[in-house]
Amino acid sequence: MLEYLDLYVFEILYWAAVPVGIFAFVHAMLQRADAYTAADKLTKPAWLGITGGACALLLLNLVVPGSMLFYLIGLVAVLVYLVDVKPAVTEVQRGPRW
Amino acid sequence: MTSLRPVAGRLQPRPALDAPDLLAGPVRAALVSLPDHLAARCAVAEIDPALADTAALCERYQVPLHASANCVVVTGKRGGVQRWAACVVLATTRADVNGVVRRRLDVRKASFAGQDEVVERTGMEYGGITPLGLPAGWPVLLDAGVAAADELVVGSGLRRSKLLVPGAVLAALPGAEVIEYLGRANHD
Repeated sequence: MLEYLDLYVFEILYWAAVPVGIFAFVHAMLQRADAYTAADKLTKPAWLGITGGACALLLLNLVVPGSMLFYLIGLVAVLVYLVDVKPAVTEVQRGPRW
Repeated sequence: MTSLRPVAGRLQPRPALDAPDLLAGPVRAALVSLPDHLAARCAVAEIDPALADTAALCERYQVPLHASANCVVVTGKRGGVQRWAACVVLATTRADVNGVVRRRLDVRKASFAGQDEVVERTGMEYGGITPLGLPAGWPVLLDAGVAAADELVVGSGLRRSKLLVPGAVLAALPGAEVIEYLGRANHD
């Protein structure tokens, strides 16, 4: 079994990316539309498209063998949302902190 | 009867000064303190309070989106002092909070003020926030398209009515400043 360890690890990473992607899409959906402009990001429909499309790619990767490139593209898009857009959009709606 | 007001859609406006019960207290006071010829051009229309948000309002009452203006309250801090401003942009655009507003307020970071805080400080209902009757000292930043509009649907301070006001009235408000590119198109 140990000789296939790398495959198991990849399989876990493939599956784990899907809920992360869905979280990003749902989060994008729940933000007010003018917060994206206020935070100097692409529009809300644009980010819904990006995170939604990324979810589709991540799911595709689970059913189509050898589509790791889709996985990487989807994962990068989701991570850009979570690391860059989400904090900015959240902060611009939160009001100032000391 | 068809309305003489092209932007009113299915709204049924009447002179705002004749319907003080459809205006929040500070809004009524702001209207009364306007010069007579400007106050006379302001109308108010009763609406379903469940439809106070722009998208729902425009759809139900057939008000063109470009004839509706949103008023958002923006805040930021500088040297421990909190600064406030209202931004009025056409409903087809969104306020450039992180750009022109942040620079105008001269704060490190500008953000939308929280709902509770806005309601508390303005004495208006959320969903009915309007540039008329805001606290003294708040800059009222108007997109150039707002100031130039013949007539716009804006809040009345209450969810159950909307004001119809010429852009010129908004530009005449205390603290009003016209900013060319305050609103950015929804698509970019």
